[in-house]
Amino acid sequence: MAWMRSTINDRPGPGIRLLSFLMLYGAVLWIPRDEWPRFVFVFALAAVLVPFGKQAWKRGARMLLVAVPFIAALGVMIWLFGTLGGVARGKVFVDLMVRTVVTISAAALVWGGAGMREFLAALSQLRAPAIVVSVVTLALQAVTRLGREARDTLDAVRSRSGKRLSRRRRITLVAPLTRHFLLGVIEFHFYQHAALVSRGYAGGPLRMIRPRISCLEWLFPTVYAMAIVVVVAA
Amino acid sequence: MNPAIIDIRELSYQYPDGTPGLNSVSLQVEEGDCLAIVGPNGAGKSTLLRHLNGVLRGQGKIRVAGIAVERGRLGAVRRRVGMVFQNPDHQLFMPTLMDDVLFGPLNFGLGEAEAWERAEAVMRELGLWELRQRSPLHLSLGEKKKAALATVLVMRPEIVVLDEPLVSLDPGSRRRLLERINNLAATRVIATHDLEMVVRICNRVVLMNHGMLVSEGTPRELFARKELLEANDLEVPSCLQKQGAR
Repeated sequence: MAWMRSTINDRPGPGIRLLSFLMLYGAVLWIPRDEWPRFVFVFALAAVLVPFGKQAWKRGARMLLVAVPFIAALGVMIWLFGTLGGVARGKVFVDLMVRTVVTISAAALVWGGAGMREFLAALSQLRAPAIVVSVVTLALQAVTRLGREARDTLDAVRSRSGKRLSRRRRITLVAPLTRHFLLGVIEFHFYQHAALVSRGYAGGPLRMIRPRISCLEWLFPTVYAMAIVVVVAA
Repeated sequence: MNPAIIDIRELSYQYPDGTPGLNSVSLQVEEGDCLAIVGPNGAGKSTLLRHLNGVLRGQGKIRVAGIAVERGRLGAVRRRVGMVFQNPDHQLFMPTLMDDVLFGPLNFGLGEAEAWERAEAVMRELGLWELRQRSPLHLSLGEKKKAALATVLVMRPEIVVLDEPLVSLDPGSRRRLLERINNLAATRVIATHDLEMVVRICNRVVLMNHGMLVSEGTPRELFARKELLEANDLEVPSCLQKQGAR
């Protein structure tokens, strides 16, 4: 269905995907408790929307893996707050966990074809405050680069550590590696600040060109919203 | 004699941990000069460059195009001094290459249409136009180096400051980038270890070590002093060695 795809890269545009995610989230929150089959429908609907192509699915799967720690962290938070608030006994914990897992997993799949650039473009398209887009931009760039640094450091450690590091060796390496990494973080931000100010940045939101959503793409969330309403309300 | 477009007097700088970076450096650069700053690692070359548009501020006086580099005037200074960092990863931070190239002009108050026009011209010239929607994170090192140069050239600065512009490039990229730098109409200040490049494009060179200026002259004058170069962990460039052997 050509109208479901953006004119760029033959897949739904980023703004549309973010909208889809928000609708998905709304739908999952809307589903009454104990009607778990509907979660499956919503999840399946999301999976259908993953862009075509092996690469997109691979990225979706990778994103899903990346989301696992967040899902776990959210679970711990919900459990903590639920226990503290005395609501854990009412299965609120399980309910929230299911919704969280479904939403994040489905969103990760829907976002499979999207990269950081699309995500930021989507935020701009949806008229997110410029300062939010700026902070997210810099944070994502920093995280990506620091992730690479961390991976390179670990590769360097492995390359001089034989086949496998013993548990004891790994523990003794944690402190110096952490220090090395933290110093790298500080240094990176020093350079990034220098790069910003050297090109006239004096605080406030970053100036960016605002992308546009094509008319055809607007059809996509409309149809998606209708499908979700049908699934949830059925 | 041309007027000094960069005038540095008694500049000293200490890093926050107390390490001395610069020690009473005085230097004048004339308009249209292509000045190379050479010296061993840790000599203070990059530290000196970072003072030229106020990224670092030490003790002493710096004037750029007649404007004192001090708080309150940094905008005017940065409009005139474009800085290309050694590591392009430090310079490119926007989600797309186009956004990155537009960043400077938009910050300096250019309208979107004019900024876009300039960006397109510079990117086409450097062969980056096809990459404009790509994330800078996904470019090759050669492309990143060119992109970093584009982010500066688009601002049409009077002075271009380049920190090791050709390091880690393959021969083809090196040659093309060197040609582009050579053809720049602006005053250029280049920190480098690449003495071959200095001989080819620079009309003046200063030698630094331990945060101080050790010597200066034309590349041929300075590089003829083998003992001086070796005492400062440098070597006579091969193009001059061959000439000496003939």
